Amino acid sequence: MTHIKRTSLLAGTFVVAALVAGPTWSADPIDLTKDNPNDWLTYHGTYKSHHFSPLNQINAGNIKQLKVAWMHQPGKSTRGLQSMPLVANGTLFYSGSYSRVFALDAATGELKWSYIPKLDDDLVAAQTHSPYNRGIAIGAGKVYVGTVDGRLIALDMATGKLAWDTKLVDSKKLTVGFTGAPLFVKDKVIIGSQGGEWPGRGPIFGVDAETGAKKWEFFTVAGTEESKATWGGDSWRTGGGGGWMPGAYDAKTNTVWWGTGNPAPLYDWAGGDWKTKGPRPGDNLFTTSVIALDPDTGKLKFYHQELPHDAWDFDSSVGEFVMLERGGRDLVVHPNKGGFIFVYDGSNGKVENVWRLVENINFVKDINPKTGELIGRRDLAEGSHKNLCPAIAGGISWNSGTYSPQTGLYYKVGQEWCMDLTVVKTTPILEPMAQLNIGAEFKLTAPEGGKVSGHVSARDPVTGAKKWEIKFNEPPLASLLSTGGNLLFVPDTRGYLRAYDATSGQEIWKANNGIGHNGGIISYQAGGKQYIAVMTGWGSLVGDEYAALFGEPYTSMAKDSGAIVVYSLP
Amino acid sequence: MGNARLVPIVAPLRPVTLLLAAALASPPAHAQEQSDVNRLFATSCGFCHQQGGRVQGRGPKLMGTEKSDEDITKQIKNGKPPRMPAFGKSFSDDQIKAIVAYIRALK
Repeated sequence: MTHIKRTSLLAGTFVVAALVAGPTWSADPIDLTKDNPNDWLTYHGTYKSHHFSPLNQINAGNIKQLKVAWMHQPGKSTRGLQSMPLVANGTLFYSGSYSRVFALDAATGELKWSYIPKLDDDLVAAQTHSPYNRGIAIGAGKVYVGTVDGRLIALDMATGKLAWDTKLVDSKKLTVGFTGAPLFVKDKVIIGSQGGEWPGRGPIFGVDAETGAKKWEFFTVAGTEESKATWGGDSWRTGGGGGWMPGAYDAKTNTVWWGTGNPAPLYDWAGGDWKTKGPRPGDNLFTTSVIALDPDTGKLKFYHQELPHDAWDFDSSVGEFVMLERGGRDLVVHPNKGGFIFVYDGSNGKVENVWRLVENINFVKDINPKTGELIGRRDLAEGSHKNLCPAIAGGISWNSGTYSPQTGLYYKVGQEWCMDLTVVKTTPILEPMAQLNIGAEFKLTAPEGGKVSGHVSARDPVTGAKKWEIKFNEPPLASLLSTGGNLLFVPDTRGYLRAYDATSGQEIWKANNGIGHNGGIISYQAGGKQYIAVMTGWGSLVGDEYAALFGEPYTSMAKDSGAIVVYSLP
Repeated sequence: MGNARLVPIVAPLRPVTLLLAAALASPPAHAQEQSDVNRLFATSCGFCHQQGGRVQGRGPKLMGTEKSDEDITKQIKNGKPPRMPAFGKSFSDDQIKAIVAYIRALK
C-alpha cells in the first residue's frame, strides 16, 4: 500500500460526529442530499441523476486552452474502463476491470491507495458479461464495489483497507454477479445483480453500510407473491431480470428508483400467444420495469412495467432517473433500451408522457403517451423474421445522458440499427452452471434503406421536442456530461473527447485520447481548479459489434487498455 | 437466494421428449442434455457467433474456419479469456464433437 493521507476535514468531522446523536458509523462529511458542487459523489452525479456539474471555470471562451493535467493507467483494463469515477474532498476514486479500486489525489493523479480484490478466476473465465466494472459508491467513510463473482466489498475511504467483503450471489451456480455501481442511501448500500438473458431471478440487495450484513433482497423476477402469477408454470425460477445499473434516490419521499432487466429467454417462440403459451407466459413482473423501493426494507412501493412481456431484450435497467420539477410537480425521466423515453410522476410512478428518442422502432407501433400501454406489439413466433428495430443492442445503451438545469435540455445518445433473427425454442440450462438463454439466432443490420448510425440530440426532457441533433457514423457508447460553463461533453468511439456549446450544439473543441470511450465522465474542483475526468478504453459487449459493422478503426482497436484522462486549463 | 439448487427433471435424450418438454414451459436442463446444436446456438453460442456462426458479430465467423478440429475443441473447452467463456465444465466431449461437426457443415 502507498503513502496514506488523512484529510484534516475527515479528522475534524470525526470529533463532531462522535458528539452528535445518529448512526454509529465513523465520520462522514459526505451528505448526498446536499449540493456538493466541487465533488461527484455518486454514479449519476447527484441523487437527481443529472450527470451535470455546476462548475463554470471551463467555458466556451477558454476551452481551447484545455490540456491533459494528468492520467492514471491501471493496467488489466479488459473491455476498457467502463466506470464512473467519484470525487470527494480532493480525492478521486475509481474502479477498473476486475473491480480493482484506486484512490488518487484529484489535482495531481498521484496514487493514495489501491485495492485489488482476489476474484474466482475459473468463474470469470466462464462468464461473458465480465470482467468489466461500471463503478463504485462512497459514503459512511467507505468505498463500495461489486464483483463479478457475486460479492460487495467495502474499503476504508482514507486507507483502502478492507472493511468488509460480503458474498451476496451464488455466482458459481448462476454464472453472474455484479458489474454495476452500487448506490449509497442513508445507512445502506444498494446494488443490483446481473440477470436478463441469464436464467436466475436478478435480485437487488440492501446491505448495511457499517457491517456489510445483508438487510434485504428484492427479486426482480416475481419479487412479490402476487407477481408469481405473471409467470406461467415455473418460469419465474429462470426469469432473468436483474437490476444491473444503479438507480436514484428521492430523499423527499424516501424512495429508491431502480430499473430492471429483461426476462429470459429474450425471444419468445410463442409469438402472439404469449399470454398462455411459450417459455414464460404472462407479463413477467417485474422485468423491464421501473420499480420504487423503500430503502429501509426493500419493500416495493410502486412500479411501472415499461414493456409487459418484453420479447425483445429491451431492458429498463439501462439509464438514468432524471429528477426534475415542472410546473411545481416532481417528474422522473427514464430511458428504456427500446428507444422510448418514459416520464413519470415522481410521487407515484404514473406515466405522464412517453416519447421517441430514435427513428427506427418497429417492435411496437407506438406506446400510448398517457398510459404507457404498448400499441401494435410485434411478437415474433418461432421462425425467421427480418428487420426488427431497434437491434438487440438497443435504441439506447447503458451509458447515461445528461440534463442541464441551465439550458433545460436533456442530451442523450440514440442508436439506429436493426436485426434479422430466427426465433428458436430453447430450454434454460442451469447445470452445472447457468448458461445464456437467448432464444434466437440473430444478425445486426442497417435499417431498411438506411445506414447504421447514432446521434446525440438535445431534447425537452418532458415533451421530447428536439432542439438539435449531432449525427455520428457510429453511436457513441460513453456517458455524457454537461457543465455550468454551458458545455456538453461527448466522448466518442473513435477516441475523441468532443465539447459542444450546450445551447446551440456547435462543436467547439476536441482532443484525441487514442482509444475509444465506453465509460464515464465527470467534472470536479480540486485546489481551486476545475477538472474534466474521462474514462478511456474499448471492448464493451455492444462495442464488440463495431468491427463487423464498421471495420477500422475498430478492427484493430485494443480491448485490454484504458486510462483515466483528466483535463484542465493551464 | 434464488434457485441455485434446482434439479432438472428432463427425460434422457430422446428428440420427441425434448420437443414435448419445449412445447410446455420447459423445465431447466443440464448443459449436457442439449443435444441439438442448432438449439444450443440459439440458447448461448449465438450471442456472439451470430446467424448461427455464419457471420462475424461480437465473435468471429465460424463458417469456413481454418482452425483445426483440435484447436476448435480446445477453444470451446478453455475459452479464449477474456473474450470467450470456457465451456469445458459444461459441455461433454460428445457435445463438443457435435459442435465441431456443426461448424464444419455451416453453409
